[in-house]
Amino acid sequence: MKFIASAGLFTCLLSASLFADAQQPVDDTLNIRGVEVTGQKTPPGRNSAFPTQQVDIKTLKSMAGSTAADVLRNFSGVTIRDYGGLGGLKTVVVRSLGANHTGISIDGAPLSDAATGQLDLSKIQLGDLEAIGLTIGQGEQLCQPARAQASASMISFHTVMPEFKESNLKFKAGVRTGSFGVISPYAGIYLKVRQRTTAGLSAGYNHTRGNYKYLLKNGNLPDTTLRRSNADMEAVQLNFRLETLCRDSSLLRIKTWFYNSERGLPGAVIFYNHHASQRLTNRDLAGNVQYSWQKGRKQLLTNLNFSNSNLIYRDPAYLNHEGGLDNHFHQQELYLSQAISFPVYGIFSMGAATDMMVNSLQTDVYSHGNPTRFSGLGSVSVQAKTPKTEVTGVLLATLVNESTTERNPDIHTALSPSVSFITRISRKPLIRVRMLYKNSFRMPTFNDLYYNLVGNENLKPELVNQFNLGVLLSEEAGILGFNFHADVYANRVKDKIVAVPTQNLFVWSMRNLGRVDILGLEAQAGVKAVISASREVSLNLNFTRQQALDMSDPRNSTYRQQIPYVPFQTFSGSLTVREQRISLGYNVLYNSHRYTLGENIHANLLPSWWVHDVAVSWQQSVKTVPVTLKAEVINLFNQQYEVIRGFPMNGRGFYISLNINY
Amino acid sequence: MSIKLLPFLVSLAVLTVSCTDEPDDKPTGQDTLVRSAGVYVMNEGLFNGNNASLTRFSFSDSAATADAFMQVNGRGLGDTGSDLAIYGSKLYAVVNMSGQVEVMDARTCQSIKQIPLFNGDLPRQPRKIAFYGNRAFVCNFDGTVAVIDTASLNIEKYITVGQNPDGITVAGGKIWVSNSGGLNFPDYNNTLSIIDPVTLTEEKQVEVGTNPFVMIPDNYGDLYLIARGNYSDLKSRLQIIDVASGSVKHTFTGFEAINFTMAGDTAWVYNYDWGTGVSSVVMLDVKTETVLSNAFISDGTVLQTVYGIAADPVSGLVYISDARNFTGLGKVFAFDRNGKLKFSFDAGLNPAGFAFLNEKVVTLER
Repeated sequence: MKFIASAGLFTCLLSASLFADAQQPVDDTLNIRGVEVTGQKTPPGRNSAFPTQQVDIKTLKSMAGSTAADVLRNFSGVTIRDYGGLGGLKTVVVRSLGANHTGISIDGAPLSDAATGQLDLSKIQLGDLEAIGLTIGQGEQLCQPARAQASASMISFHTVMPEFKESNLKFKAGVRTGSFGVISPYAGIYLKVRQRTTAGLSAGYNHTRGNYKYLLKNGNLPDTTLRRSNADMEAVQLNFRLETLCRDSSLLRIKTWFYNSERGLPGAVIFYNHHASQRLTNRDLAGNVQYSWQKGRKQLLTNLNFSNSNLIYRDPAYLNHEGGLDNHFHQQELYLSQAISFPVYGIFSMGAATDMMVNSLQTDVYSHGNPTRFSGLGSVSVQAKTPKTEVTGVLLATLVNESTTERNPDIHTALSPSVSFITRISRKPLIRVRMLYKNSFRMPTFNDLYYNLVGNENLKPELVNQFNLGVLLSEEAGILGFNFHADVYANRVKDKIVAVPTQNLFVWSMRNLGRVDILGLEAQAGVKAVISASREVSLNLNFTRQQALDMSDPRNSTYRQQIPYVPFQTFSGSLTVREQRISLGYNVLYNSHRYTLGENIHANLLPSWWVHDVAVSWQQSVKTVPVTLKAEVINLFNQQYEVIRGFPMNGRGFYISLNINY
Repeated sequence: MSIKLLPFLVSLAVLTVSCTDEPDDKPTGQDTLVRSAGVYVMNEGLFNGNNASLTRFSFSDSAATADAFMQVNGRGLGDTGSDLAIYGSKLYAVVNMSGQVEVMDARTCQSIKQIPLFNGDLPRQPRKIAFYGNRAFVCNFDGTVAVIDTASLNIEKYITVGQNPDGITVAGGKIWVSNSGGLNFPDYNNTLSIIDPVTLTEEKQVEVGTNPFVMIPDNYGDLYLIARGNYSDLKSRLQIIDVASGSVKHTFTGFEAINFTMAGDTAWVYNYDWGTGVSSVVMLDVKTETVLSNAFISDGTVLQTVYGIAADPVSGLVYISDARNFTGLGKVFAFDRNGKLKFSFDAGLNPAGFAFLNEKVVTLER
């Protein structure tokens, strides 16, 4: 506590002195741009000590798919836990570590869900996004929230205001429709209110019936074609943002986000029983106020977040005496973060951040009352940077004070160090070598701790140690640009939180039971040919090989076996061609076989799959309004596959969308 | 599937010896011997996995066949197996999440009929099965007991009982059903329903311990019962119910009891403490209602997670299943009455239920 308090004071004092400095007006457009989108202009990954992957808007536009999950699943090291369906739950597993170790942020502000520890990616639509990135370790910036340094990996979404050139008013509108009852219109209006102030309001609606066909396989019985039922979804999203660029080139941004959805959970396919009637309702309201400033190597970033989310889960088929389940989860989060970075001496810079967060939850399904979790995080980072070499060390201190309405506070503290290193070993071709060590943990979620019967309030945090060693190569020759990187990694998960049945299969409980040792290899290669401003071809290939072994208990038959749902190999490839007004995106994704349970036997085998997606878009100005027409075929070869056993994925689907930018 | 049998594997000779101890053989000019032919094991599988399965252990070749139902019928048993029993020449498997009672030929595993237990399109979630006369009684989590004609295999009617019945047996000429209320955490039920097998209606309910589960009658007018408690301060206990009055006669408070089995005058009760990971088996005399041994397993055999128990009166063996870590294949251990391991074999995922296949051997009088 003392450490956090003093770190907090330290950060605030430093911020104050920097802020005083910040009052000097600096009107430097280049500088402004640097602040506006945190580190976005130089494509990350090329020179980062942290394995980083990013997709920008141009690529997003030419690719098939409509959600963030469609994009992320092509990244190396990423497995999407996809429970099927177009409105199905999707969470991200990076380098076999479990979805709870992946942090998610939008425009530098971290998001979270204290009940499950996982964010459902199907909530994030591509409409407003400018870029999606994934970093192992933490972002390259010294100035970032402590919480962004707390996860094993970080997915970052970037949104952006349109550029106002000749008019002070801009419109965006679009609609996407196609197979399985998908209709999703989208509209946004953006205003330049004053010289340096802009405002935007956008709204999206999503509807899907999700009743796609699937093949039911049962032994030697002939395969039967059935349709998924109770897979419909309806969602509304509203976004508002206001940005003011101050005279000193600092940026103040206020954003609010509203999301409301109602969907059916089709459930696992059960032999001889096709009943499905569970429903899930989400209503989230969130806001973020962000202030950022930069001058040279001095940076400051303040974030204030609040969120309020309601989740209702109903299962009318549950055979209790109330005649069904009707569970409510009401969550609040308040988050404040102050981060700074500044040069110290010569090649040395420092960063510091203090975060404070309060999470509370009210529900009807927890034992021990309603929990409240206070988290204080403080981090100090030191960086030495020369044109050739960069070394960064971060020490993160965490204090969690947790209590429930019926239980006394429980305090958990941790110190989590990380070190990263990158150096250039050749200039032509440009070759760099990088190294990373990071220690992190994830707190047990509220559900892990308190959920009726299942929860175990004595759980310890799940610990992760990551080592990474990589080589990066890039070379340019005429119109051709080539880049390649390969990383090997060794991760160890200790005190892994797993659910085990206690007395029978109806009474499960959470325990710190496992150890997992992970060894992986990732390689990525990209070639890009820029023939002219309007002609461009690029090819990207990703390959991952992973071994994630259960090392928990030598007595178990699962000992030294691949943990469930981690594919041994994944491969993805994408080709985009832009020729004047037409662009083509072709994408292929492969997952090798996986096992659904800890024993690597045939009964637990899920077969490998290949999925091909293709998109063609055509841009044309109607009068002065640019119109884009896009056609997509998802799962071109109608591959029947499952990512999670019992949850069949959708077969071939056709989509068409129309977008207007004015 | 590899079958790992222990070196001191039981032979048929040993079995025949133990068979002769049984009082079943009645000399009537010629001897009719009942002999164990095999054991069926119901592997529950895992929820949402469609991987309930039957393991068949045959004494003739001392071999365990994995997934016997799939091998014979070319399809899966379904999701979450919850009970297994042989009655007459038929083998009945109750498949909870799939909402089915699968009726098979007991010798071959060949499916005779799949009986869906649904209320409209809502699965009733069948749990346990018992037999009386020419009827099978299946209790369902939706608070009903299905009455099935064992000849036609048609459902005659549904009898309404209490909440989430999770045990069914026959005692004193009545059908007893334990209303667990198991899906009503934390307000579990504490009643048994008594059904008249003639009128096929619920006669009355009697109060017992919280969250009642498995029931087995003894030969002395008592019904032994596990009351699971609330998984918290109320521990899982073994109780004795007086069949005539329906009242609780005794509660064993010296040990925790998750499940039990009975053969003749002996009951074997197990507990698995998931906090410490220790399994234990207590042996009782039901005639004197006293504990015979607190540690039945006498040869040092260590079980990781005891998950099911059944005693075969014919062979005199006590079968105990081990679910190990619940996500890998389990194992079955067979002990003699002195708690010495006779043999073991690999089972499927979460082995819990047993059914004994016996055959009659007719020999001429000497």
